Amino acid sequence: MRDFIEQYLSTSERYYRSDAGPERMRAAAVEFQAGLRELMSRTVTGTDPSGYVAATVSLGGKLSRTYISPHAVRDLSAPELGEACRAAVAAARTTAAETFQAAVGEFPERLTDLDPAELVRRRKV
Amino acid sequence: MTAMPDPYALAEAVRGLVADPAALQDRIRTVVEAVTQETFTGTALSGGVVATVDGLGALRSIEIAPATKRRTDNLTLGDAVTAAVADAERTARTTLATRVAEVALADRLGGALTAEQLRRFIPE
Repeated sequence: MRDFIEQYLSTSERYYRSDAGPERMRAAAVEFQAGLRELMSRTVTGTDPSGYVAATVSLGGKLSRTYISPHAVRDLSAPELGEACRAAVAAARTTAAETFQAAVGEFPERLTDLDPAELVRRRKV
Repeated sequence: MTAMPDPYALAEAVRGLVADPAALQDRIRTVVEAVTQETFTGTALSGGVVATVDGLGALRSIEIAPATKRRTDNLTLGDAVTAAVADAERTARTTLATRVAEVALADRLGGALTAEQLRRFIPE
């Protein structure tokens, strides 16, 4: 993923420094957005401390599945089971946030001198 | 048939929006902070599973009724938890978006759009 971001930034920078025009930069941005959407839809799973409940969430944080083991229904009281579910979702979301951060990394400082007015001017030429 | 907003009133309203961006930002911040303090619930299995989230969608608790736990198999119960959480998050998200739209825009666009018309622009 880090390579993917780096590639997008390099491409955009090259287009910007050249006179490629805003259309090609926009195409690069659309491609980047699709990649980001794909990343956000990847899923990770987290469990409560006892391992009775497993929650699956997307890297965007959306809960897609909660698996409660048969042992959990047998061994835990209703309040304990509710808390185990909450803990599993929390663990999954923590993992999702860490995974996303690791995938994206620090956003490199590029294109800080990008001037939107310059891009508009190029379009008019 | 729904009445079309007056385009001149809309143009005036949009001009008003950008005229005072700092005030608009303050108003939005106030609304977001207020909604964050609130909690919203979602349910499944006829209220046998209740999920509670805060205004920004962070999960606070999941309550499972003892009777529901007793008479529901593990897989159905898991699906119900997922559904209750999604329901609570949807309510929180809709409330936040609606309040922000209404409070931040209503007084500016009030002459051109009703609250109902504004709400139609808010995604689920």
